[in-house]
Amino acid sequence: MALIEFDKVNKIYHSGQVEIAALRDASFCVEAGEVCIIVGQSGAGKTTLLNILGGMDTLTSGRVLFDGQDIGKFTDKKLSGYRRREVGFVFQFYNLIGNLTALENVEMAARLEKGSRSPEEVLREVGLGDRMQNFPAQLSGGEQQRVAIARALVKNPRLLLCDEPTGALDYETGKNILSLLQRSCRESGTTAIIITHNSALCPMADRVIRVKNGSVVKCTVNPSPTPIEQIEW
Amino acid sequence: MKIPFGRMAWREIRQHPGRYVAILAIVALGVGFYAGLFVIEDAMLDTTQDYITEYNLYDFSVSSTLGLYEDDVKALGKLDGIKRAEGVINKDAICQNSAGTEQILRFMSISKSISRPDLVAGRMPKHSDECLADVARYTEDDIGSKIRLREPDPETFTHKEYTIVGIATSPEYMNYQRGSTSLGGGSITSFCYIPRDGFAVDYFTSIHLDADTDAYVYSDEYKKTIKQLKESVTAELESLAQNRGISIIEQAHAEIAEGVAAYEQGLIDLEKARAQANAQFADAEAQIADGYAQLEAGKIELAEMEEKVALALEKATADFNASMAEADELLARADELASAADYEKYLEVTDALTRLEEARVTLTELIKQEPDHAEYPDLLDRVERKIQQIETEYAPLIKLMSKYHELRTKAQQIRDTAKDTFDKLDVAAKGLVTMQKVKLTEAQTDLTIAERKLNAERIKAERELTAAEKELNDAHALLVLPDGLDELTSPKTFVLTREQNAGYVSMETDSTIISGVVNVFPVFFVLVAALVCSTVMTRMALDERISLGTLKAMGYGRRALLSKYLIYAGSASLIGSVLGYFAGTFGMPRALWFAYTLMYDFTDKLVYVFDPVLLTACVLVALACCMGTAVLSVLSSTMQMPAQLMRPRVSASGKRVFFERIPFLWKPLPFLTKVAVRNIWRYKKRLLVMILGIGGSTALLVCGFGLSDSIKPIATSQFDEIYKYDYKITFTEVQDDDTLAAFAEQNADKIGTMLAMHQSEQDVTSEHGSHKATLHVCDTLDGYIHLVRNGEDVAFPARGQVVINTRLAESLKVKEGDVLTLSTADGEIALTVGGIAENYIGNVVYMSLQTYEHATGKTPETKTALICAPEGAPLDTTAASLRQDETVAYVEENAARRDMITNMMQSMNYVVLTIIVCAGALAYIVLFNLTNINITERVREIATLRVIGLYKGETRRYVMTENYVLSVIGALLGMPAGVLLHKFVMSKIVIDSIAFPVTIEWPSFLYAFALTVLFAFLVGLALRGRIDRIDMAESLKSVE
Repeated sequence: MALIEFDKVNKIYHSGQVEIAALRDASFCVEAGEVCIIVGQSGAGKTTLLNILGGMDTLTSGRVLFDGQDIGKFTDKKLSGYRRREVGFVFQFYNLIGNLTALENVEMAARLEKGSRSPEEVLREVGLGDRMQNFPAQLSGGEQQRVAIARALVKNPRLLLCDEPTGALDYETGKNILSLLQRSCRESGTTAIIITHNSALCPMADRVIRVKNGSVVKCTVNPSPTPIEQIEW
Repeated sequence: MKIPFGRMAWREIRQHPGRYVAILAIVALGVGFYAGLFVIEDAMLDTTQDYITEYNLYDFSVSSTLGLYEDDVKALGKLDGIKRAEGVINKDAICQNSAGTEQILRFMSISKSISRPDLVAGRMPKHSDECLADVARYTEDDIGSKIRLREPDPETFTHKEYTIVGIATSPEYMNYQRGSTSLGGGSITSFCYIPRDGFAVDYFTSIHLDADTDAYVYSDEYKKTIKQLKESVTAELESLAQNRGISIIEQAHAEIAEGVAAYEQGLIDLEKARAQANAQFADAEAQIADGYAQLEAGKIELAEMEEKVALALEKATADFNASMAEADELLARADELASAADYEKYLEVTDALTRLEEARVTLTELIKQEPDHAEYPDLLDRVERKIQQIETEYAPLIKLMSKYHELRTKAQQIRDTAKDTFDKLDVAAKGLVTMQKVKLTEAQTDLTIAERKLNAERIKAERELTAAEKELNDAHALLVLPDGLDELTSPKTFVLTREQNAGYVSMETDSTIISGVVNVFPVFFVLVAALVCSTVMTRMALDERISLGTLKAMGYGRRALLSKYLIYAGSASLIGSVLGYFAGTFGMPRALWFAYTLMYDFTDKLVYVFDPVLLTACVLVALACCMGTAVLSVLSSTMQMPAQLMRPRVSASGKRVFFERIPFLWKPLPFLTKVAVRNIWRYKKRLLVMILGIGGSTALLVCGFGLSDSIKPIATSQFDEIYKYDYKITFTEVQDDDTLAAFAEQNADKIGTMLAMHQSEQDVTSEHGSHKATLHVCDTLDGYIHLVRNGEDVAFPARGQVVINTRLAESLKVKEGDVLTLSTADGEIALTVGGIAENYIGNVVYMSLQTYEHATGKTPETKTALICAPEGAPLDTTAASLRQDETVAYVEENAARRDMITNMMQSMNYVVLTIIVCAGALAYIVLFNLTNINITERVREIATLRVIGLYKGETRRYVMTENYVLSVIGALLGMPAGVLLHKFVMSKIVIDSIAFPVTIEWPSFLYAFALTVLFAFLVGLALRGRIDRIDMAESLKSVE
């Protein structure tokens, strides 16, 4: 069974009299352990997908199954629990807490779950073993994003959601980050879903879901994904 | 085209209304609080002024022990500087109302122009048995019920009951105190106005004077005018009273002279009457003697008459007997004749004749009736013939018998006549005698009666004359001059001004309490308002960096950029200050007055005082503060290059808090607290504002509770710990050991122990100034006044030393060992300060009798005594009965004063409540505003946390921990500030006679702390929703 299943999901925003359909009958599934890329132009509905996947938003109709459970029916509290235990987020703009050191940022997430890993260990894994006591303002963009990834991974989530993780980074750094993501997922068996508008990244993924105008237009499985170091754009 | 900054400002307001309201609110609060407090004193005074002027409270109230009359009223009214004079009558009486409760009422005559009652309900009395009741004790529902005098007193009151027709206030009783009396329990329950003719007395108990001045109440001008006038009024009054005294004495003398003259005349009249009576009696006696003489004469006459009568009767008897013999003779002859006749035959004949006569008559009649009947004349004829026949036949018999009868008849006639004659004579004779006898008896009786009457009259007359004499003598005995008449040459007069009216005086002190406090607050509120405004403006500028940069890039100058913020801040402060001014000047006096209506009942509402200068000042300060802050806050942004503005802001780097360098303190802190500490330290301006706001709030609370702590216990401090005695008596005359002993003996049941001493108001001078104090000279104070300071006993002053109170020591800037000069009635003396003791009411100087005598060489006058009542004595009635003693001029009851002060201090509760509300508002506004802005700044952060998986509760805690930490820090810092503030405020509360201890009880600190934390908690509650509703999608937005 797929870890994630979107079944005819619709999301309609009401703005006064006007109805805006952000998602129209979106359907796809993602298997556990996959690195999945959701790609589409700006405004296609990727972010909405992410929001619903991450339990940050409700859907108008349809089902979203996570490991067989319909998270669309979850209460607010259950959704919080879902996010707490099952999901790790990586944001486009890192969203680190500026007043906390890198270590403390990761600790922030780690203390939520008993089964979390050691924050120091995870930070070392992402290559920031000697930058743990620095504040985000003292770290470069890439380093900050690494901290964010560490924060996301420290909880041992089953799902890692990344919203344009390299959007604020330069080419080189971006590649490094993606490489890290890829590696970590393979190692820990975490399912990663990466949202991007850069279709050149598609080869690195096990599955590519193309979104256009709110609906899933293509869903392809890539039997042999390319390591990100080898992809140029 | 001109940029529509106004419209932009308006949109900004609409978008974040909370911020705008925050500025508006803090300005309004500050202005309202300050302006409200500022005008309270004026409002209270203006209200008092209006009331006193309209109902024309007297400027002087004069009375004399001899009473006052219409010509006294006129004389006083003519004095220079006096506009009007009016006589009034005041009498106290024990009454019962409809419910049957007994009260002591002071009845006052309704005056026309001075000290008029203010009718609150009902109507003014029209008849002499109607009255106006006191608004403090009666309501509209009592109109129609009656007030009954328990003991009708027709000499004083014309009626036994008075019907309530209206309820009124009195300018003479502005506050709740109603005064004391020598009747019953000693305190007056309420006043009662009745018309002049409700009283039966013909004099005035006092005269009210209206001075010719328009000066404002309590002003120096007024006090000066009255002081000047008092002399002339007192002089005039004394002269009037003296004249009256003299005229009373003269009248007394005149009346006595009259009495003596009347007495002497009376004696003369008495003698005359006596002589007259005696003459009358002599006359009567003579008449009686005459009467007796006549009686004797009559007796002689009677004897003669009786003789005559006896003779006459003899003769008559002889005549009678002769006649009787004659008659007998005739009878004998008749009998002779009769024996010769045939009596039986005679009878037959007479019978037949009679029958025949009858027939004749009958027939004659019948013939008359029936002349035609043939038989009748025949019959008649026959009858007549028959008659004739018989008559002829028997003629000699008939003749014989007739002679017989003739003789008999004649004899009888002679007998009758003789008897008749004899009887008549007998009767006549006897009659005469009897009449005479009767006449004599009557005369005797008359004389006896006359005699008796004369004696009775004599006795009566004697008695009356004796009684009359006694009366005259008795009356004469009364013709002495009454005792004490000489005292009338120096009658006692009293001149009272408004300063002796309790209600008037207490209003003065009560209104000034506030003004001292007022001046602290503006600085504080301006600071807080500036900071709040600054945070808002800075936030706005940050939010709009990009548009600012864009505008600047387009070429708009600094002034143009600033204008939107100026409009924003300016409008907020303008509206806030105006709203706050009117709300404050309207609401605060009213709120505080509500507390005061416990004590004052002459009006419900305060006059609204509009001070345009104050309003302008407040508005200008508010505008300057807010707009100035706006400019300063925004300036930094506007000064940057456009490009800089349009780039994302470089937020301040996270930094280690120095606290972290102490690992053993830092490590054990909970994670969230560490976060909070870092956050707090990072935004120092915010930290400052929060601490100022919270600390200020706590300081206000501490100050407020402290005010209550300092003021409330005065009653217990002074009257339980310091004053141990129950009454202070002022005697009318100077006392010595004998008079004191007599007094003590006479009032033994009311006195437990007594201490006599000298007390007087004197000037105490040091090199730093001079103040008045009450000098006490005595041998000891043990058991009466406890000398204590900070819990330790202060010793009774040794020789050459005095003990003064702390307040006096502070005013004169002296300490133990310094020298003071004291002015006394026997000269000025220099003394060393031997000890300083606490005394909260008035300034005192204690010295031993020895010291005084040694320094002045004289003994001070003793006119005062402190008395401790015996165990279990009822205090108020004891005081009343002490008052009734003639040697006592005045009794001051500590129990009553204690109660009065306690009552006054109840209103403190409302003051404290007001302060709590303002402090709460302050804390709330500051906290809410800053937290609100804080949240706005960190929306992304908070959203991220939610995304990461924090529950709503955890998220809230994450945000609010800072607030709680800051609240605690602010509260802790605010407490010492509060202590300072309290000290400052207390130093400003200067009431003439009372010195408040500056203390704050430890529970007050707890309360202040607890309340502060409560306010923080409330803010947390209010912002819950805001935090919960943060959209997680915000986390995905870019940094801008």
